[in-house]
Amino acid sequence: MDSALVMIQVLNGLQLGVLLFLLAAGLTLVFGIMDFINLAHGAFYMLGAFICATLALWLDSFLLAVLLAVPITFVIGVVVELGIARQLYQADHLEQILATFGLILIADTLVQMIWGPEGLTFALPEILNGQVRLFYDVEFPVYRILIISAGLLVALALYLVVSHTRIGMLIRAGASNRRMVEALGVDIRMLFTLVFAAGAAMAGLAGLMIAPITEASIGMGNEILIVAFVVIVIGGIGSVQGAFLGAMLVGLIDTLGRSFLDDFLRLFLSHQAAETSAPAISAMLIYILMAVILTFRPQGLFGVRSS
Amino acid sequence: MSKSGGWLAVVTVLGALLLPFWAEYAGEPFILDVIIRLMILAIAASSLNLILGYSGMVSLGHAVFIGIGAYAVGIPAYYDLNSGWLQLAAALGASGCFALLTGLICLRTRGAYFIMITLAFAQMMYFIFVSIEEYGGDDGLVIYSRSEMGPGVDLDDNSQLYFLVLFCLIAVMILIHRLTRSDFGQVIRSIKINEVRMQALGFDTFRYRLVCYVISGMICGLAGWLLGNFTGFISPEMMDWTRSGELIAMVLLGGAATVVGPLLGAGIFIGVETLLPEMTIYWHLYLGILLIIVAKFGRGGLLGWWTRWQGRSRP
Amino acid sequence: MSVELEAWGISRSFGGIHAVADIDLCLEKGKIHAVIGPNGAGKTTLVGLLAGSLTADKGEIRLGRRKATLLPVHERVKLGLGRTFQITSLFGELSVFENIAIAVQGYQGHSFRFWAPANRKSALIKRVHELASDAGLDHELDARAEALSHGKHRLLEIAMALAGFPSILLLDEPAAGLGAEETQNLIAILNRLKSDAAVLLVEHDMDVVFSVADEVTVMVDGAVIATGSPDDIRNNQQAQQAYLGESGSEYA
Repeated sequence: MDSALVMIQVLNGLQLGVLLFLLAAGLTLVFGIMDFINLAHGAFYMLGAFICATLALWLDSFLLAVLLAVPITFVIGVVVELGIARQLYQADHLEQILATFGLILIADTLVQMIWGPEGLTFALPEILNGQVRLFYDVEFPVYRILIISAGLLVALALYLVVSHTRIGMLIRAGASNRRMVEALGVDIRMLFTLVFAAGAAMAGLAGLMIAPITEASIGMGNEILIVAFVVIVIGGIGSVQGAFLGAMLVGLIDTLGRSFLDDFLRLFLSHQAAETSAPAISAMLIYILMAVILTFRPQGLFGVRSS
Repeated sequence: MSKSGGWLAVVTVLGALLLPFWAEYAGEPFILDVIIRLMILAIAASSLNLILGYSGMVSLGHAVFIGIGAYAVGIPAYYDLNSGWLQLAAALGASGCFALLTGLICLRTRGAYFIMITLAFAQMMYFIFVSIEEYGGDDGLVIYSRSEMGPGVDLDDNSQLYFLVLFCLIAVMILIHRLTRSDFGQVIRSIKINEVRMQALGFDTFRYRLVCYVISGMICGLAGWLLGNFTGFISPEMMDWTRSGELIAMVLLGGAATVVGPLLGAGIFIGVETLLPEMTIYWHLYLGILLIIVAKFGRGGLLGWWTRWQGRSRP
Repeated sequence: MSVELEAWGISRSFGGIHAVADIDLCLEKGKIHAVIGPNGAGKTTLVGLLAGSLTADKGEIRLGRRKATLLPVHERVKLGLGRTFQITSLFGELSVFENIAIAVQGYQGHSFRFWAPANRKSALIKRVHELASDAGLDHELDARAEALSHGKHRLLEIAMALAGFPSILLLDEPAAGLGAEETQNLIAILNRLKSDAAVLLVEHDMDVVFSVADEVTVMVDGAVIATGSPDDIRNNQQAQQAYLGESGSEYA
């Protein structure tokens, strides 16, 4: 294994980590505060990607597209919260699952009606297309560095808001003790709408950042959403720090496992056995991690409420 | 079971027994395929109902057992091992073991954590099968020959497969009917209502829930064995979490914690899936709206609605 | 008389607050041991520690001869422990018959019987009727548990706790919310119970405590401040100040 490759894979792992964090942050807060399991959270990831792609093609400016697409997903988040999600906070988890499963079908079909069944691709501006030399002969795409930085910045901003502002204090209190927040006389419904929409906007940001690399496609949010669930179970429901740590762990372990596990297994196994078993085992790694953590800490690493 | 319910069951079973002959007479073999699929999904939904409806364990990864059962047909068939009994044993054994191992971890958690962990384990199996290229990976595996069950039985004949599936469905429904009314059933239903109290009465609730989870997984493995035979093609997609979501939808559409609810739910689901696409390519939109309406207003599903309606019309 | 339950130095704290601190306790067959004390004194935590729904941070618990400090709830039940809950804990949507039947079933080893219908065995039905008539619930057997009055809920709780012929009974405020007549009925039941079991009675109602208890322990802020016969406690200065002084001066 050469160190350049390891370095690059670590960066790739970080990239997956920040994307997962952006999805998981909203999910864990909505879950922790409103006790609402939103299977349709991945729809915002998809919508962010489609809206940004469309705007980028129209306006011919990626930057403008990003600046517009994030607030638009925020607004969609507000609409969905007021129109549908709010009705479901009191329902039991089973009903929430059924309803948000229905929401996924609706979101996917609406996207298909508007944009057609094909995915949507668009080119990055020239300036973001290059490689940056990190040191010696290690090169890494500029755009991926940008994704990581943007994700870390949002994480930092979210951390500051949650731990140092009045709204953040209410959010933390809401995650551990909902009644208390209500007793403070805060308009809890406004807080719910805000948290839900902010979560939607972060998921949208994650989707639109990945869109130029993959493409905007129907159902793109459904698969990564499951991994985001793993992240919040590991981190502990309701905890932003937990979501961050969980996302980074999962991103790194998954990426490094997929790239280096066969090399590692070759130390103990025959060449062929390593080659055939490595992909299957690396697919299991994050779930094994989750199982181990839950065995010792059923409430996750930073759980504020026990299961 | 009420008297009219009993008659309805007899008529339904008689109708089901005559269906293949009618399908052949009317020249509509397609209808047989639809009903086979419906019955297989009804078995899977019934197994989910056992844990979700009767004992309150909301699993969002139940389709994994369908996948395991189906691969238990496909992988032996890939090596030319076509004995149906061997494949059936593999399907039940593998799904039982998977339920036991994951259950040991999942069942230590409650509520939302349980939902997400079942989901995650199912997704793990999905990715494992995606990554095994020997068995087709993402593209899946074609099963060229259906299970061989011994002389006189030929599952390649669709109507024979039909009768096998019908037999399995009836057996599973009778099993669940008896099981949920037995001592064991009384225990799991009571755990759903008040687990703390059950412990205080001396029940090791973890063990009962685990056994229930394993039984449910094995029944669903049976459905997978049938589905693998029926479709002749298996892929990781069969255990995708959206398939599990569909199973939940079936249980709730028909009526959770009832023996016939899952069958009705599978019927509604197959009906929607068969009829709506003929009207619009955007039929998923209407299915989604239906699910939201059921979640919001449909407590008890079709059966619950029927009981309430009867209760209202009868003073 | 035989000692059925012993606890030495058991403690449990929640986030730095000592809910139960260093308590010794001994329950003997044929005696009712009452625990009294103001709200928040740690009485329910004590019941939880003894029953096994909470684990002690320190100390040791013995049931009969067995060390039980770390045993889970259901294993302690198998060693003869029965309990009722401060907040009624029943199977609301099941009938009274089914509530008692499931309790009886819990006593019969295991319930891994998958085929024969439940609640049909004559021995079980007989036992359910016995327990129901002891608790005065003969006429309510077919009613849904949640439809009963509060007083009957409390009686059903006791009937269920008695299903397994417990040698140790932990009763957490059985008289809470009962009317005068119901309380007299309860006192009669408690007096009948003690010949078969060692009883721990957590109770606020001093009428009940002083008419049935053989021994009384006073808890304040998680610790025992006095223990002795009912007469000792009536005359104990500390106990009066801490607890009796406010609500029970008539007993002084």
